[in-house]
Amino acid sequence: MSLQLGAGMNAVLGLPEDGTLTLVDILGGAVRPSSGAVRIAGLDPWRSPRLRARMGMLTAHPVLPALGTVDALLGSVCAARGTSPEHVLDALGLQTLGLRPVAALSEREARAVELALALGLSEPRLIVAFEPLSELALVDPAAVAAELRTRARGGACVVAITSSTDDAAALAEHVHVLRQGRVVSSSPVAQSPLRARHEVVVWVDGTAGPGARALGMALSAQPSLGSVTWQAAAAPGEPELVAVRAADLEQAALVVSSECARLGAVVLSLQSLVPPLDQVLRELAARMGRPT
Amino acid sequence: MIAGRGASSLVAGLKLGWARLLGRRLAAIVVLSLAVTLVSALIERRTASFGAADRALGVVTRWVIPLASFALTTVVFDRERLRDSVWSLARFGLHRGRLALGLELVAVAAACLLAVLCVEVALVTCYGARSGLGRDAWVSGWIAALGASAYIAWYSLAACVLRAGRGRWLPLVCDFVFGSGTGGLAVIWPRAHLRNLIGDEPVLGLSQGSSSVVLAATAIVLLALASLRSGD
Repeated sequence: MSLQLGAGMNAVLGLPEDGTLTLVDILGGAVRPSSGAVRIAGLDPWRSPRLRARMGMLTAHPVLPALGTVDALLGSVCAARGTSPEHVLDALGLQTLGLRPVAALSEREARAVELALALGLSEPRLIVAFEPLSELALVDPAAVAAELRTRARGGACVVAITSSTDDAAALAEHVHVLRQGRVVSSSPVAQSPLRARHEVVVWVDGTAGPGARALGMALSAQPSLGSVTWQAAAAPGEPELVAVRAADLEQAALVVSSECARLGAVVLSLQSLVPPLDQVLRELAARMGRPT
Repeated sequence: MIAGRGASSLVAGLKLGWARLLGRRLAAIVVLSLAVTLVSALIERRTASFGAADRALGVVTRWVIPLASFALTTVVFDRERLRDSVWSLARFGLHRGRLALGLELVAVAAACLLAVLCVEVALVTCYGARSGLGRDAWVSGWIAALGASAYIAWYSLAACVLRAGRGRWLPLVCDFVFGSGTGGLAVIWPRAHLRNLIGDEPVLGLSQGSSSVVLAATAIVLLALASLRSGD
């Protein structure tokens, strides 16, 4: 496997059986690769405590030493890093966990503390986060995404390792797809298979205004849009759906919004759909001309 | 800064070891060790009061100290290879080697205290109201502490190999098998020197002073090697 990551938001998309868990361990320095080498700013995380002090890790199963309370743990960790333990928990709204014994934390709470420690670095070189937007207690995923973006803008290499195409699309600027231990695709998110579908979906309330059929007919007449399909409500009172394919998703969203406003449609939700992982892999295989 | 981080790593290792040590498992090890010591001392005293203290010390040095030290390393190293055992802190930038040394020192301190406690209990039980306890208690105390340190050092080094720290079984078994002799194969094992120090047959005809030096050197060298082997 060969993977070169620069500063900014990166997502490694894959399943645990494809090697995502091993990748977290290797990048963090917990495991030495059986062959080859990992270099982060020229240093080996397995051998360099100085480097590890500037790396933030959110692992699949939190590894926090039971050194009394969470505050005591923060004290020890921040002393080693040469940083202040103040505001580490506050950034994610976790200050209520400070007095809790580490051993008494649930797995989700421990993951949240681990994430706070990862984000608590003043000048991180690398932040590796396994499924950063899920399995976290007391933390708003939007706040996590914002904090990760802030670190990436500050010059850190942020790597979100996830099996969720939604999370990868929401977080990353570059997407690397991991399949059976190999990186099968590396590209900016706009050119990645995550955007292969190029589809905008709008849900409307057909009881309060024009329904999906009326909106779909109006959108079909728009030359900048591709195919338009619609679906009536599955049951009375439920939302109706219109799906629009287009080459330019932003332009399509603008056209859909203006048509909705013109017709007076009551829009419940408007979003571009991200294909699931298996569809991404099929798309990649099709691009490379071989079966999945 | 590097020296500061090294010192904070050692302190963190001591804290981690202490945190792991405190609990029911430590209580179980202490109670079991004292119970075996007390029962064996009572039996020896009842069998024949002459030489009862020596025989009771034999039980403590041959069985209680090796096994209790083994159990203590199991607790302090958290059933892991020494290097993996400190990962929960090393991942934040602390030195693995210094953290490992911190764990080793906690195990040494706990094993020494328990070993001293056990030999004193054995002696008090066997001596009863007889005189001479004071000097014997002092000498036996440091012999027990020296032996416990050597055992912890062996287990620490062996905890660097095999998965989940299972390498510790190697010195435990080898000490029982080879340390019971008096030939060249016994010379590196604590059992042989402890036997010499409590007045039994010496290994390779070494004096008691030499056996003390071998045990002390074993403890220092092997603890340092274990720390280096676990380092970054």
